[in-house]
Amino acid sequence: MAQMQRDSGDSGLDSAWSNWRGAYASARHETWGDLWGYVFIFPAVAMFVLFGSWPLLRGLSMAFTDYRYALPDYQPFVGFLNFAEMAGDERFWQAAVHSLLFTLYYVPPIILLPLGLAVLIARVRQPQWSAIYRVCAYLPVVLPISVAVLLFAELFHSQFGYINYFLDKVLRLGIKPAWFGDPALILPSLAAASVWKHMGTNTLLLLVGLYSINGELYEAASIDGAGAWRQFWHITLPLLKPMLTVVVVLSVEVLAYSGTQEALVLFKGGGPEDAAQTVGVYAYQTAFKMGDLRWGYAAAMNLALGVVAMVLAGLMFRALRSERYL
Amino acid sequence: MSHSDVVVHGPITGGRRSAIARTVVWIRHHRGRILLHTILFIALLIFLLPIVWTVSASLKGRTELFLPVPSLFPVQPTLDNYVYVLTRLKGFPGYFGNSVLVTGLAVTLTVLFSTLAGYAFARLKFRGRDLIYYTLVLQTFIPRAGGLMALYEVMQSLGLRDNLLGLALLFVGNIGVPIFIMRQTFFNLPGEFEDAAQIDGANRWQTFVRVMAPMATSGMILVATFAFIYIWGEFLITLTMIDDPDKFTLALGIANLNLNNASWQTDSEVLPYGTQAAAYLLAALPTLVVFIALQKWFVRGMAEGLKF
Repeated sequence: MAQMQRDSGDSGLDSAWSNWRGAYASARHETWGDLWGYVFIFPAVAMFVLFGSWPLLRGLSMAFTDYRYALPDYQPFVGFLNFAEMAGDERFWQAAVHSLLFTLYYVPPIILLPLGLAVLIARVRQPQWSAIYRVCAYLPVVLPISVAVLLFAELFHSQFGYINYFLDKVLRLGIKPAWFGDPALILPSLAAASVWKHMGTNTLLLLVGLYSINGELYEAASIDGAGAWRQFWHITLPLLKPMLTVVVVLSVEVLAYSGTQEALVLFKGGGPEDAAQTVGVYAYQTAFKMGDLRWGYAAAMNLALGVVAMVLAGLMFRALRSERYL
Repeated sequence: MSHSDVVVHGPITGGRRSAIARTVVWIRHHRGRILLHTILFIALLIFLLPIVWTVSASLKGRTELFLPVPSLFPVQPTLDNYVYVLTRLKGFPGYFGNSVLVTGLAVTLTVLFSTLAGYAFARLKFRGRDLIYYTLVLQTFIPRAGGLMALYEVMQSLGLRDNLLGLALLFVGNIGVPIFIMRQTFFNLPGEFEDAAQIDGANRWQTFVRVMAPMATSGMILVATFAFIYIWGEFLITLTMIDDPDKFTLALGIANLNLNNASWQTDSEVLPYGTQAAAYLLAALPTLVVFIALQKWFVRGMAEGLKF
């Protein structure tokens, strides 16, 4: 029982799989036991299956059909044809480039900014102050996604926003970029909004990692004459590596979503010149806005991107786990 | 050794000079801490600038928004924007009511169902218990491909699409993490009370309702908070499931505010920019209040390895 307590949560696919096999093997010779158990789990499991498991399996199978929702009873099985079509679809490739660019703009700041902030907050000794800083750092995460994006866009408003006033009049650069209105700036702007909304989660995860580092290590290091920078490099970073790995892997998976919600909130689609049309947005439009409502093709696009994101996250995990620190 | 014990060396001769001297010594002594708090204060002010700026814009009237030099803090704060949103902005009260209905129902059911299931998975012994549980866990690793379309199909066939009660039920389907949290909570409770209740002749249901569930309130609060913040702010599924503008929730409604009317230019004492700001903040207010009131549960939840 005690052992079982440890492995809930996110202990990784490997242990989930071995736990499942163990449970499967023992289920054969278990006695029926307390039948109240089935009554107690029924409502939750029913909801989970109906709105979780079933759509998941159904959605996966859809990717191998040419399901067109607007045509009655039209969902022929086509194998991998959707994926072949994708290879020749110019709009898909353009969207894939947008997703990739979004990810490149998103990943470095969403790891480095929380790292810096968490290291600073972890140095605060007074509990009431560190609690206040933690709440501030986490605040955007609890905002509704639409509110967060719109607040960010309000700050970057080309006419009334404070950022443009600051660039134009305070720094006297004489520029007023349109940010969310300029096709060249849309992806970085969306990525910035997204980083702002989500970085609190990473800050908090890294803080949990930092709080678990034994403070005596730093005392010993400073007695030995190690400065703040060397302490960070030789104590903080190596000991933070497990949590940093979690943060990197979670952040890379953004490729699978890459600003879809943000773009739909602001533009209800791909934005000016479709510059914000990532794969997620394109799939959404394919499924719900365009022509025959091609659900099969949209599901295939989502699946392709989801698999690429998973592989990428897996590679990151391998690389960070095996690499020896310095 | 505590940093707050300030030791002033040498004779203290009273008067102004020594007060200044003491301040200088205090500052020197706390150099590091002052620097740290200053950096953090500035960093977090920049970080929260979108919120600060929107709060400020929401408190500015027409004249102030048109000033050539905008101030970060309003000079003549006014609540006109909020009054406008709450009394005259089309749709806003309706969106609010819809959000309250959907979130209230979904959070209540999520807490109820996950508490029941968590108790059974942690405390009751029945055939296939662990098999069912680990099947749920395993599922969280499968990538979601056509999930949105498949959900649309399920909702359509159940006649629950474009229906607020249906939307609430759909959100209850997001019960995986709540089950994990409640199972963990019941694992960590001592077993003696349960045994005592059984000996006193209480059946399973009575033991659960009278003895075990009341001891699991910490887990329930955590589940309710996570669920509240997620459901109140959910956008993509709501956008897909709700067509009728009268049924929009706030998260969806505020992305569809139509304030770019020409009459704004002349008639009104408020401007779209300020009114939008007020509407955004009112829409976010419930999640902010819930989060700040219950923030200590969040860090504890994160520390126990649960992701939000």
